[in-house]
Amino acid sequence: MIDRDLITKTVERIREALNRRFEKNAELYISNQDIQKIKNLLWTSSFETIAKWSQMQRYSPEILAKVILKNAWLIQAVSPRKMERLMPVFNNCNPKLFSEIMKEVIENKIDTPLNLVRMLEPLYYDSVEMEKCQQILDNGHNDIKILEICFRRIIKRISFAEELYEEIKKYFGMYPESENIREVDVSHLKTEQQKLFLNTIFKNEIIDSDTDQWGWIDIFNKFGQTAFDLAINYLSGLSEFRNPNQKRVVNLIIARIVNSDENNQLFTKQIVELYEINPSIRFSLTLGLRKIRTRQIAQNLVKEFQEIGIPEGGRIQDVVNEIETGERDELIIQTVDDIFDEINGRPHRHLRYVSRIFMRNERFNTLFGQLFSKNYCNEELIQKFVIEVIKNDGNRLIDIALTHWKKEQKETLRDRLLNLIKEERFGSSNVKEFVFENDFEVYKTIYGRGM
Amino acid sequence: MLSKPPPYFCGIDLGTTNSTVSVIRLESDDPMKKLETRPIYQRDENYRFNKTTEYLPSCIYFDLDNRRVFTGKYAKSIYASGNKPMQTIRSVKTRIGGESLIEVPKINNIEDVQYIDIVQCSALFLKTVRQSLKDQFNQEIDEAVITVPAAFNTDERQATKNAALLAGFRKVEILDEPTATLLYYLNSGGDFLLNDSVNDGYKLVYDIGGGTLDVSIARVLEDSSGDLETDIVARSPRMDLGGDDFDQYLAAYFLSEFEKARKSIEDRTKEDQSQIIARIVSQAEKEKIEMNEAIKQKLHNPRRLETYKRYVDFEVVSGMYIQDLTVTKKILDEIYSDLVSTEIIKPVEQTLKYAELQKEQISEVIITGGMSGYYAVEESLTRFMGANTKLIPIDSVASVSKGAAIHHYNLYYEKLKKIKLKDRMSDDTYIKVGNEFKMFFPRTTEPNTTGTFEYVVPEDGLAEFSVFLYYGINDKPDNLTKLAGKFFPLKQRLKKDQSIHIKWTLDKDKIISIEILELDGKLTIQKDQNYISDEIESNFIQTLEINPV
Repeated sequence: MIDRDLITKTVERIREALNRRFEKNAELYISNQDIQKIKNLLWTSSFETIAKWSQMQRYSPEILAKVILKNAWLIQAVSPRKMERLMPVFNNCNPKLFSEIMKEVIENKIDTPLNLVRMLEPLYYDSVEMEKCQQILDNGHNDIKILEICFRRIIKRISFAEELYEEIKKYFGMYPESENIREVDVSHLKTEQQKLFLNTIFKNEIIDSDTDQWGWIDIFNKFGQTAFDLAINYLSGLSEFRNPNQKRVVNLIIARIVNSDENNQLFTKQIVELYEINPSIRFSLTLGLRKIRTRQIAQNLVKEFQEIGIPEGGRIQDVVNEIETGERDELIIQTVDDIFDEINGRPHRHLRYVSRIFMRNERFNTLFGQLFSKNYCNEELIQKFVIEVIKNDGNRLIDIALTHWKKEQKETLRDRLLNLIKEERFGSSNVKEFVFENDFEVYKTIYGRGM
Repeated sequence: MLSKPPPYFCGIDLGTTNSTVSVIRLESDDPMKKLETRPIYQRDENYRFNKTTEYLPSCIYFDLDNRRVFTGKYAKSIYASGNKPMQTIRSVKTRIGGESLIEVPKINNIEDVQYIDIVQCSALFLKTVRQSLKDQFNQEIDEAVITVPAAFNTDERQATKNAALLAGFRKVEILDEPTATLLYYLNSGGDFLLNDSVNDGYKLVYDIGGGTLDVSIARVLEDSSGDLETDIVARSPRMDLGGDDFDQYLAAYFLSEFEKARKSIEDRTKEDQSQIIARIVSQAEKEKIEMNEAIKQKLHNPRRLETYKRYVDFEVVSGMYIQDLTVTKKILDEIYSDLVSTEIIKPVEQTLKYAELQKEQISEVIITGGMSGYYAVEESLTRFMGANTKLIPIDSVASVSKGAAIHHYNLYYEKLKKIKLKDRMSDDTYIKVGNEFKMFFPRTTEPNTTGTFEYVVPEDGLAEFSVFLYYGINDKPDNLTKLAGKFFPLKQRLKKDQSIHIKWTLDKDKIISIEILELDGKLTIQKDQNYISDEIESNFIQTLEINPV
């Protein structure tokens, strides 16, 4: 007598083994019945179940990604948060296979919800062939995040200092406005090449440059102590301090400790020595102390300077007093005119600084509204300030800003807001409505899928 | 289909277990005399180059280190040994049209894998066939008719067509397997009970292959010219059941008996288990075939049938054997009881229900496919249909490919009998409007028809205008399949409820052209989605040498 239950169970084992026989860890074989189930799960937005299939290794992420994307037209409009639930499937895909699977989505051949496309694009461009990335960088792309990814990948594969410098310079030139593209990591260079690279940018972009090249300065600062030593040595060797570019080097030194929370004795020693060696640097150096975030570090440095001798009276003494007493800290902003007074005639970076302090102001809501309603003598400057303020808390403040904007509808501010939205890609319904009504071309660029 | 006739009319039965190819050479007074099944060149079990075998076992063995691939008997022997589980594959037909991929590592470098899809696998079989014909006729063979199960959906048919294009065929026609069988039967002197007034000409075609089972009920009437007018009145739903399942049930018996005497193989690594199972299943297939022959010889002699015994012996894993395992017909019946009592009859019951017919209204059952000669299938059908229904078995090995070759010939000449199938689109066409799928035009739409669809803008704030078409047989979205579409750039804002008129044309080749009057946009959508030449030429499989001489 045959044990039929045993036969049935054994048949199941055999089928599983036959299905899995091409896999070691995952399952790329999917039955047509299960494809149908996934289609149903997509239509009913049951993304958790699909992700669970992936977690349980019932199917490999690659095959699930393939089925999901081929049937992405079934996905209904859902919130980005809900859409995120599908992401574990894509995040775990083999990059080479994923970029192949994504091709039809990128080429807009499948009606895929735009918020899913936006989530997948960074993954795709992180895995696509390098030639494609190169094309994107050379020809531009609507999405700055994509440019950033491609830039990072291109940079990462260059291992020679000269070539790296030229390549970065090329793209800094092509994308002068983009802050994201200035995030350069050169840690992959070998020590010797790193040193060469550092010397090249120090000479070409800091000492010999006519303007502040913030992208390069950021890269320079990333070299930490090595860059700091290079700057200190350079200044120590100067007999006189007249060139404005040398002041930039002082700023680099200050920048090294501006963001430091530790009272680093090595820095202190080196800065004090520099202060002592070259009297003409003292002025710049002391002014720079104002920027130091940790008051204790600034106070320690002042104490050291005082021991060597600080000139009596004048601006240096004022700064020293501010630092010693800690009274320098916050700007007092009572009115919009206070803001104007603080930012007028100052570099753009100062605008950013004031905007951050402004965010902490007790009267923020009232004053922020007033920025839109009054007619100021220098509207351009105030509008630039508005944009800087919004950047501090974009998703929240853009909606408030648009509500205020509606009252007066100043055209120049409209254009600035549109540019900001284009850059930051805010997606609230207020923002969409504003862009839709005010510039349909921008609307298509941001919320359409033109390549 | 074509204007200038090719030198050879070629029909290919791309089977789950085996493939065959038949050809009719040129035009002649009696094309049936020129109809022949041709050998498919391949390497045999012993790696000898074989030019005589008239079927190609549907097995593949990948040797990617050397950019080689083997199809047929040699690949099957490697599969059966279980020694290269990651490099061998069979039964791809049951997965075609889906998204499955096969991860094939190189043999000497496990890290470097290649992903191969089912269309590519099928293309390797078809490429073997095409190359083989080229070697025999010293001529490129560019056209073919390839058969598929009648229940294959559009995706599965399209995937099969693309496999043929990938294999180098330039013009390909897809034909249902039961139709091919009937065509062969009709032209080779088959004795139909035609125009029988009692039963209204209803025939049931039961097609059981290596992995698929199709049941169709057709009303077949002979017209004045001797051609058959065939109206398919009902079809069974797609069913993945066939010879493979019989192999697996028998293998399950072998494995369970082996494990009773030894330890369970589940303690072993997955690779080991795969190897063992591949060996057992391959042995089961062999035993199934041999036992069937023995049983069929004894069917008319109950006493001999009752005493029939077969002793099974083989090496399961190195040094461990199944020895003297007794199999009788009674044991086989018990092993197969699930399959025989329900599975293989279920689609017959369903199809009768769809056709709103009683089984007594069926005058004949035409039984075909690789498993049609299996004793358990015949017994089971006879038991269900009753002794009065005539069972007509049709040559199961090559009738399908022969029928396909006849169909190819019929596309150019009038000498042979034809089957006139009622031509209708199988699916409705839908358009996505917002989150809804609306009927664009129904499946009853005749070719050369023009119409206008009024697209009502579903919401404010559209950044682009999307026209994507889908097909299916009802408006339940997850039952639909993507056809094609496009995002049209908008020159101006669209407002909710605004009407956009989409003018469409369905031409004689079922190609849909779309014109959006308000947007000045045009789009052509081919109902078929054939691979384009770039996809074909740059495909990875073109870099592989198949069955090197």
